[in-house]
Amino acid sequence: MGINIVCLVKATLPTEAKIALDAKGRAADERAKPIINPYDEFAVEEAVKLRESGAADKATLLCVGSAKAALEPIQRGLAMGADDAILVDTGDRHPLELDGAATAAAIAAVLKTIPFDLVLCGRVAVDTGAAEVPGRVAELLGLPLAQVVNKLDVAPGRATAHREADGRTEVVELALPAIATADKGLNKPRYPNLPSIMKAKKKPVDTRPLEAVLGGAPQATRRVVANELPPGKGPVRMVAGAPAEAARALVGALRDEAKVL
Amino acid sequence: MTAPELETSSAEERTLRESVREFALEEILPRVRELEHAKRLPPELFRKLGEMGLLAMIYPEAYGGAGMDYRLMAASIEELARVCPGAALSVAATNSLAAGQIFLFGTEEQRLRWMPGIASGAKTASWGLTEPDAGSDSFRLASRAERAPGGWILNGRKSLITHASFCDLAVVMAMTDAGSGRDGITAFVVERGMKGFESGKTEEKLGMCASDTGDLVFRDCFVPDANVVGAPGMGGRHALGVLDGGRIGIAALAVGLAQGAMDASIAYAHQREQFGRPIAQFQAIQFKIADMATKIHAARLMVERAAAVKESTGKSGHDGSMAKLFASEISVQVAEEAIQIHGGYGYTKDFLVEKYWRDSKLLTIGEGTSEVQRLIIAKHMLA
Repeated sequence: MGINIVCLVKATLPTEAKIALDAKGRAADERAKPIINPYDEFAVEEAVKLRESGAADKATLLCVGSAKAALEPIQRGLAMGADDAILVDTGDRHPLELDGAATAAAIAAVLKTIPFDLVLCGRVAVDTGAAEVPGRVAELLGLPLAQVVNKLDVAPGRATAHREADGRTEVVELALPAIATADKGLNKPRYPNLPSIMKAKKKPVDTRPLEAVLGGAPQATRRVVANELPPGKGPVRMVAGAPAEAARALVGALRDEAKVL
Repeated sequence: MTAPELETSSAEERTLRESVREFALEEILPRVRELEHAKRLPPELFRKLGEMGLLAMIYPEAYGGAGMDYRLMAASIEELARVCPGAALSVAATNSLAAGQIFLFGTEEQRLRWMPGIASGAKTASWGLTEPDAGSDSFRLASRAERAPGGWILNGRKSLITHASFCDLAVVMAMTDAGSGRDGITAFVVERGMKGFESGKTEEKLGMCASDTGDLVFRDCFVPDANVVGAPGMGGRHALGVLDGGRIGIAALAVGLAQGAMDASIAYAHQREQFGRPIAQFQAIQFKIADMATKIHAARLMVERAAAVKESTGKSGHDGSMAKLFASEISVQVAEEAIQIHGGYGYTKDFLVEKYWRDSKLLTIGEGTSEVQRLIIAKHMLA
């Protein structure tokens, strides 16, 4: 009796990328090359470790995204040691056209077609910060859910997860199949070595069009109507003069102009 | 900072570059100066490089290799050199030289005997062609091997040899038929512990100090027949074949070094303020960065081209020489401009640009000087 793990991986923009808005006011996804969501990397590492230790038999990646954007998280996950991948190809759609509900519906639909015991993913995707997909998937499939996990043990039929709660560590037990979301500290993701990167391209990637997975067009439940960038840094004013005089001028400016004192 | 992105680069190459860069930033960057002072890479770092698959990139898995092509090997060496050119030199030499000769011209038994150890970093390897009086005139060898029952007696000295002071084995070229020039040379694998084989002096160098350089000395050293690589008399031709691939590695190293010097310059130009603004806002600095970027881009494309030619024809030929010539020359120029951008601070050891510049100069000399590359290119053009 083997345990199959499915890792949900998402392509996000690198955290250091400069976010720009496109003509329609959406956060542009074309200008920076996507990376694997850093929290999903913890999930992949955990799945590969469980497989390597013999606690699990298989680690499969599941990614919803355009074939182009998903290439990176899938390549990275396979190079880290995942066995195979399923890509739900969203085609030319802008990522924002697919909200958390539609993404979760696609993931749940795929999970209904494959045997799995444990679903692992990052606790949040660093681009949208919504952290809603794991909960929605758990709800759609009626799975137990442990969020923000920093230690995980898996045995046949059950998983034990440690979570940081207020001032204590909460240890929860989940009957499998279940879903758990990874926090920083769960492990230290490896950087894949060169032979693994070479082997990754020979691993199977099962591509399924989004419409085929959902049996129709995705149903978004909400719409992003605007994106606003934070205001730029204002000009810097240097306060000159002798220390006592400069300090007086600075306090004056802070009180009368900036009104922070 | 993300890896430089080429329009043509594959997802595989991106994963590879990111992975090698993360490795270099984590395992090498914190001790760049320490390695320079130690004048060698420690055994534990060789093993980490081996685990990462960086020591035998282009060879099949059966011999411990990573099964990559020349293009991906070049990308990996570039990412290492961007952080530490000296470590990258040790890695490039390990990949191309001794392992190259054993893989290309050794028997199956010899490959299985020596390559997995080199690939894992458990064994370090040297490659000896150069001698005190045979540099660019590389086949005027004074080292001699004479027939003895069951093997050969080797005498001579190899100089300016990478990893000479600690190598576990060395592929050494020696004259076995003095009257036949290049066709009188035979290649031998000499192993640490063989009587009559020892390391000579270790060089004090201008740069590339993390990579050990020194002499190998042979005094009546008996080398068994099983350690002859390729047929007797073929060692000279085979050495040329090894150098043909090695040039791609050195060219890639030059691109990475220049990229590292430019990365440092861009970061400094944004941060350093003079006349009330970051110096990046001055055209004098902007134009330097533009020239650096253009040279690096051109050199990288030439390395890619040479790698593709090597992959499809088995020989990088004049494409490899052009890439090595151009990339090494621009790496010196870029590193020098990087110091200029840093001004007085660039001349101090508080910043790494002085090191990039010292390291760069080796590249116009090692594995065929710029002048030898020009000879190869001219020979092709005027043929």
